[in-house]
Amino acid sequence: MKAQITIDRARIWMAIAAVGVVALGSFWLYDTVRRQGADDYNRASARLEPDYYVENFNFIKLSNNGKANYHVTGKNLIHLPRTDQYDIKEPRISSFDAQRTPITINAGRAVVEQKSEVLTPKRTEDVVHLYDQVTVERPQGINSSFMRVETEYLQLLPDADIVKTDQRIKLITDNGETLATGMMANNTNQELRLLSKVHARLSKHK
Amino acid sequence: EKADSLKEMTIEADQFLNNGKTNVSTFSGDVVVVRGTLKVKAEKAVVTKSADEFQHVVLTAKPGAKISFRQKRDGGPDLWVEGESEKAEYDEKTEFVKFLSKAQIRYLDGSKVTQQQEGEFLSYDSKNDVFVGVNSSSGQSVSGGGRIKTTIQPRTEKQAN
Repeated sequence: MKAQITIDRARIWMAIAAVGVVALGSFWLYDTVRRQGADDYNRASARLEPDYYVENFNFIKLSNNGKANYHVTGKNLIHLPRTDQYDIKEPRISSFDAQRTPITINAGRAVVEQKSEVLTPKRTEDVVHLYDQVTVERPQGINSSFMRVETEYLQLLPDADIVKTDQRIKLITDNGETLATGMMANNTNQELRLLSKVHARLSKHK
Repeated sequence: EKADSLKEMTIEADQFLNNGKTNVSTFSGDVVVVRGTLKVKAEKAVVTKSADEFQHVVLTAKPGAKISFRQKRDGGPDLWVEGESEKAEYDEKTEFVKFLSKAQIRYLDGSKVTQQQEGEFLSYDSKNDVFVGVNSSSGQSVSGGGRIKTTIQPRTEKQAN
């Protein structure tokens, strides 16, 4: 008799467990569908067209933790809510701080993607894309030599103070002129790396 | 060759690294340095600038490989000088090309070697074609150091035609 009861009891428990799994499964399915719907809803609601724009602007960002400060000017800026991006015509960015000589960047167009929680996937750092005749210039300074960079595309990572590109690039310094494909410049440790096909013309000593 | 010293120097490589603070530039990967007829091939070239703004280039080869160098010499239509070594230094001010450790230099008339030199330290003044061989790679002669071996081919009699 005793064995019989335990088998019945085991069978009952198994049935209860099965029902429990089914219930949980369906609740999980319902919740995922509901949450997915919500994402689509709030993205659909953010319009595709720009929600505001600024003409001939001056934007100054002062950082207090010793990081570089930024002064951005541009002819025209539009904000795209759907992708939370800024599209700037003829941007001019100069980054300056106490220790280093200021760097000035000019371009035909910039797309600024700021950190954003709204988007999926989330954007964890600011990224600035620069297009059309991009120039970066650093004048002769106390602890830095003259440098000018010319390229068609440049990517800025302001938080990491890194400037990089995978395009053809011309680097002009007082040593001469260098052409290459791909560049990675780190402003904090003042290192500039050219990634491939390097062709340097060292100017004769004047 | 004298004319080379008026020419600008070009350096080609796979990669380049410039340190803004120390202003040291490093070219690496199949480095080819060209100045007029002077052509040097190496694995790495480190370009530094002296206080008076002259460039100093230190070239090193892949471990086990050698740097190669070739330049036209004055004094004849087809006179060349060629060389190999594990390390070389080129100074823009003095225009000296110094070959260090297991260096070998060959003077050629066309493709015929007229003089050959081996040693630890061979320095070649590319402006005035003056050549110095010393037996230690520090440039000072060390007694008991390596030997300088020079073989000079007999001058072929020019047939008076």
